[in-house]
Amino acid sequence: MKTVRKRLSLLVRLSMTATALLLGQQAMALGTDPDTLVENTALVDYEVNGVGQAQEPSNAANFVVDRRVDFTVTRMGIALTPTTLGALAVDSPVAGNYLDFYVTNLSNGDLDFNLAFTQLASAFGEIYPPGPGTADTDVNMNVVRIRVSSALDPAGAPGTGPAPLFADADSYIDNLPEDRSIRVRLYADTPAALANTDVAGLSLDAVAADPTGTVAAPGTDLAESASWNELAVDNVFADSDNDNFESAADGFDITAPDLTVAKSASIVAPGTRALPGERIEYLITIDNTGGADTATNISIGDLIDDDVTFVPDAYNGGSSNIVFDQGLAAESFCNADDAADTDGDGCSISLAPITLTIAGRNAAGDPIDVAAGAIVTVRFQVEIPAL
Amino acid sequence: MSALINKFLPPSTAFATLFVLFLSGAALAQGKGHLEVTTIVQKEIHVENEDGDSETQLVVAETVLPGEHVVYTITFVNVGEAAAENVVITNPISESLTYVAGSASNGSMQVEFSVDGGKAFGLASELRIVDNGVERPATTNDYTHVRWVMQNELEVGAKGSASFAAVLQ
Repeated sequence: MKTVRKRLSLLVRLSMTATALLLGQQAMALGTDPDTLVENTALVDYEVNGVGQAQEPSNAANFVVDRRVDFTVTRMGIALTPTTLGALAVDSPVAGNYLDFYVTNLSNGDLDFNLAFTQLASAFGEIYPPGPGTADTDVNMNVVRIRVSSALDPAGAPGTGPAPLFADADSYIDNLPEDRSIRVRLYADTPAALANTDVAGLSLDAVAADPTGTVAAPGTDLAESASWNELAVDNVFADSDNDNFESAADGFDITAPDLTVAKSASIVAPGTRALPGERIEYLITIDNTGGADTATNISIGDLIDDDVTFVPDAYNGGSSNIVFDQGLAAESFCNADDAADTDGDGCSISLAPITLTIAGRNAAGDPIDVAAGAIVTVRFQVEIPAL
Repeated sequence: MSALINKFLPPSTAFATLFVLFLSGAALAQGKGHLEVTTIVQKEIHVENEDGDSETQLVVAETVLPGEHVVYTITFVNVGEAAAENVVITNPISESLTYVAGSASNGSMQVEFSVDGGKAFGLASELRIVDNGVERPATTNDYTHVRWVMQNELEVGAKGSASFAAVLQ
């Protein structure tokens, strides 16, 4: 830069100076920009017999600064993100259906990035080690969308920039300056049927791309030069593993109901044995204590033995035949009338074979829901016909 | 002067003197070509040798990244027909480079630096710079040029070299 050849015109020299000034300003913490030409020519002065001779220049020993391809992908989460079954990835207001990351450019110049995600397999192991329950259980999210924030993170404060919105551009980071970071969000839809405590691991994968690319016309992935050239920009991979690939893993913790159903029978007092004419009360217990989410709209079907008859007026002063006990709440009742459920309470019975359907918990037909950690019991009676 | 010599010396000697003067004149007229100067740039790398120790090697500067050290080596040969005196080799230090302290040291030449774009030169210990109105000793970051001042003549056919290292910012 400093060796200005005499044959250059004033204009060229001025523009060289301007370029030098510009380069000086661009040179930031992470070093001289790629493609900067560093020129060097030595000059020798001497005398012969006390007479000064013409200055003797050396050849030019120039080189071009190369591109150090170095960057990181960092997850912002500190624990798995809980998500409920069937939750859709929408920008607002549903929380918990996205994972946040940021990508930091540690190169000596602008970089673009092609982004992708990977659904982790269970073999991936612990996402937040050490500790149980954080390993991927080989369940996948339905649809994953990559969104890149519309603005950079503030300098020196990675992860504090604006959150990537659902409407933002996806899958490509255009012109991330050196020593700066930008947030990337993976929005994901949760499948409708997964087990409680299932973990869906996802990784955000970034590959540095040609910085001349744009969102509309993404740059190709940078390749390490096949042969090095002193006077051209070479890409030198300096990321971990020197492979121009960085990735960070995070995961969703599926919160779902976990129901266990038990059925038992007891002889209604005063009898002690199941003899003809005696009544038997069945108790169905629906236990969601192992779940982390409410089970809603539960429907119970029960096939009743042909040898017994359903007791149509066992509870509620003879006006109901099914009773619900929902823990702290008062008992509630419904009536299995006929297969058409004419009273609309959700409870009905059909014959041949005798099938009891219980899908409501009171006369209004309100749905049977069992909250996480709760137990609901349902009782009804049958009578052993007299011989 | 020739006339004076003619008076006191035999003709053959006078002729020899004239011949010497003629040669000097030819050298002056020729101007260029007395010294051949070449510069190479190399990169310092650290490799592990057989004993497991780190060893510095110089390789072709095919790839240079910020933070890496480059070494410039200037070689000069007197290809003329008279000794060169007061030989001074001057090398600018690019704005993208920072001189590595002590790297220009040379047993037979005095090393001087400039902090003003090559106008004035001085020993490293003597250079001062005014920074935001405050005068302070110059640091390697301030150097714009390095030069070597040869203490002896460079005889015909003799060869010398100078080198320095710089880190790419």
